[in-house]
Parts: sequence; structure tokens; C-alpha cells
Amino acid sequence: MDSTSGDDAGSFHSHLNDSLGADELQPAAVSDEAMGRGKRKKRLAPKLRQDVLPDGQAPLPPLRQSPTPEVDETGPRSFLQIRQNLRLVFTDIVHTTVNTFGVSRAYYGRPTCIPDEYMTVGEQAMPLVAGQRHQPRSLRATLWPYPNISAWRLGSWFWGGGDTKSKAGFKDLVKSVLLSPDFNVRELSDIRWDDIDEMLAKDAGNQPYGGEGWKETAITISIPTGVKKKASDARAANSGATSHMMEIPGLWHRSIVALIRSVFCDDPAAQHLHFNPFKQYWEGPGSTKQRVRDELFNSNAWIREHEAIQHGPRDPGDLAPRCIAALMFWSDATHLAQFGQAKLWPIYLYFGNQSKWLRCKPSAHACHHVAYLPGVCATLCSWAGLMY
Amino acid sequence: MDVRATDALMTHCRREIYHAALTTILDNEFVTAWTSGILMECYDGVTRRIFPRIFTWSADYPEK
Repeated sequence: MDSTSGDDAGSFHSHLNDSLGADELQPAAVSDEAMGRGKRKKRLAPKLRQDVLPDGQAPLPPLRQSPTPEVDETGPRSFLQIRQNLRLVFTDIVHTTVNTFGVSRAYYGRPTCIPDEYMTVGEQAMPLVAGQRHQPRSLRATLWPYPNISAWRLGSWFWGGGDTKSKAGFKDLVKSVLLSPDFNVRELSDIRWDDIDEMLAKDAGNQPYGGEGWKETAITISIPTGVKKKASDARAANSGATSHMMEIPGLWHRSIVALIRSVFCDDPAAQHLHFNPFKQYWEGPGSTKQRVRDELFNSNAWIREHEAIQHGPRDPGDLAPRCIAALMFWSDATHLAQFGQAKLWPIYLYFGNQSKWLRCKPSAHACHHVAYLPGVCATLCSWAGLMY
Repeated sequence: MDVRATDALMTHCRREIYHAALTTILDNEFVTAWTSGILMECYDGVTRRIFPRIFTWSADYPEK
């Protein structure tokens, strides 16, 4: 990390001198003003000040064009079977050219893409465009469970307008429902409002549209009763155990596989996912080549695992490139209110395939909810209190 | 009568809930994906076989 940040600062002045380091970019030391009452120094407005911003990842130069077509990352590694239990595997190590910072990458096998190639500082620093994340939904999915737009307009006025009748609500009814050009009274003729309200009240998991596959499951835990198992004890003999099984409802969770699929296939953030691990090197003027580790996808663990899955058994004809979805779980109980006991116990998931510079942006929507764990509920507490 | 569970019991229950929940979340579908990968057409149009691997688990001890 250190080697990159020092390096990054240098890029700004790379047109002057490549050997400029971070230390030389510090502003000049305060001179006479600090000693006494000096002249007030006019400070430039921030817009005009030439500030050296820390630079993110440099755009990578394109891969060297090789005259012979290299073996693509697709497909299994070629190998030489030396003995029955000894196999020599050949892996192409593809080196990228050195960028302005003196950083180069060594990929294991030609990568299908380099996501941060040509990525500018602006793209790294700016928030992602709002609304980019979600695919546009169809009109029918948006209106569900209302069958048409007239019913939806009336329904959303009814549920969204507050509990009491008001003049503002009346005007809103006239303006946004009755006078809207797509409102047609005829469409309201045979609508079963009670059924629609019932569907609205149900959770999103059962919806035909939307819903992210959340399920509620009751889990069973065993609680020791502390009663020793005795042969004479009829109750213990019947149950054969000294623990009490207790069902705890309220574990909300969703399929991790479905989540991976939705992010990797449909999320626009997937265009910046790294699928191929690499080793990153920095070579400054007059210094030896050093390894730069700054992301999950240039760690040794990833490279090792990536190679391991390449050598796994394959079905005949299965030539799809094999990649890792790096799951980074995170969990912490959260208090919802300043006062009181309202708590949530969520499990979140980040993908290590995404660069940390993107992952840290709230606008990237990189954090995915996987589960909400149930707390030790009140019934259990009271039951346990009575038992012991 | 206000009867409260002991701290030791609550610790036990929280730990049991955590492990039972993880057993539910990391289900058979996930284990199958772990061993044989999931074939999917990614956003860039390339069909890849994706193997989920857990790299980090940053959580506090819920039983405490």
C-alpha cells in the first residue's frame, strides 16, 4: 500500500521528472511569517490552488500484442503427466506493460478483460450515477399488484395520502388521479380491491415481480436442561436426552447463489469485477522490483485458489473459464434506536472481485444483505426463566 | 414474578442461534456451487464457471 501511495503522488509530476517522490511534493516550509508578525499571505481559492491529489489506480496500458495468438484463459491448463501422481502444469504468465507509476501486472493466463484498464482518476473518485444499478422494470411489474395504471393511481392515493381526510388530500386526488391523462374510470369497473390489499400486505418474497427471494425460516436450537439422565426418570427415558429443543422463528435469509448470479449477470457494477488474479509489481528508478499488494485479487490466496480450481475435474466439453466469486461477509448487531431495545442482527456480503475503491462508495451499492438473524426472543427468555 | 435467564444461558442460546442460522444460510445449494461451480453468463457476455469462496468473515462474537 505504501509503495503505491507514494507512487501515486508521483504521477502528477511525471511529466517533470519520474523520480519525484512524495516527500518532494510537500509545500515549502513556513519561513518568516511563523517567527513574528509578517505579511498576510494571500491564499489562493481552492479552485486555483494546484493541489496534488492522491491518485487512484493508474490506467493500465493495453496488453502487449503478441504475434502468435496466445492461449486464451478459456479452457483448461495444458499439462504433462510425468507419473501417475505427478503432473506438470503449464500456465501462461502474461505481463502487462509498465504504467506511469512503474506498476505492472503478471496475470496467470491471459485475462478475458482488465476491468480497470484506462480507468481515470475521475471515474474512481466520482460517485456512480444514481439509478444506474437497477435494470428498468416493466410497467406491469411496477404496478403490481394493481392491474392497470388507473387502479394504481387510485390505490397509491388512498394508501399514501395519510389517515385523515384533508383539503390537500382532496386536491391531490383531483390533480394526480382524476385529471391525469392516463386515468380511465372504465378500467376500475371490475377490480377486487380487497384481494389487492391482501397481496400488498404480504411480504415481497411471494411476489411474481421483484422481491429478492427472501425466505423466513424457523431454526431449532437445543438448550440443556441441566437434568441428569436417570434410568428411573420416566421423562428422560422417553426423550432420551437432557436437552430441550426449541424452535426460534424469524431467520430471514436469501440464497447466496442467487445473489451471486444477480450481481454477476445483471448488475452494471459487474463490468468492473476482477475475475483474474494477478501479481502486481512496482519498479522505481534504481530500485529493485517489489510486489504491490493492495487488493484481494492480487493476493497469494486468490492466485493459489484460482489455480486450484483450474485443475479440478471437468466435464467433457466444459471449456468455460473458471473464476472465483470472492465472498466477504460482514456482520454486526445494530441498534436501531437511541433508546429502547430495537435491534437487528444482519449479515452483509461484499464481493472481493470489486476494487476497494469502488466497493467503498455508497453509490456503488456494493453491500448486499444476506440474512437477518433472530434475537433471543422474549418467549425464550421467559421460558428459560421459568425452567431454571 | 420477574424471572430472568442467566448470562451463561443467553450466551449459549446466541451461539446456538448463530450456528443454526449459518447452517441454514450455507445450504446445500451453496455447497454444490462451492464444489462444482455455477455456470453463468456474466454481464460482459462471457460465460464463466464461478466458484464461490469465502475470503473474509468479519464479525464480532455474537454470544458475548
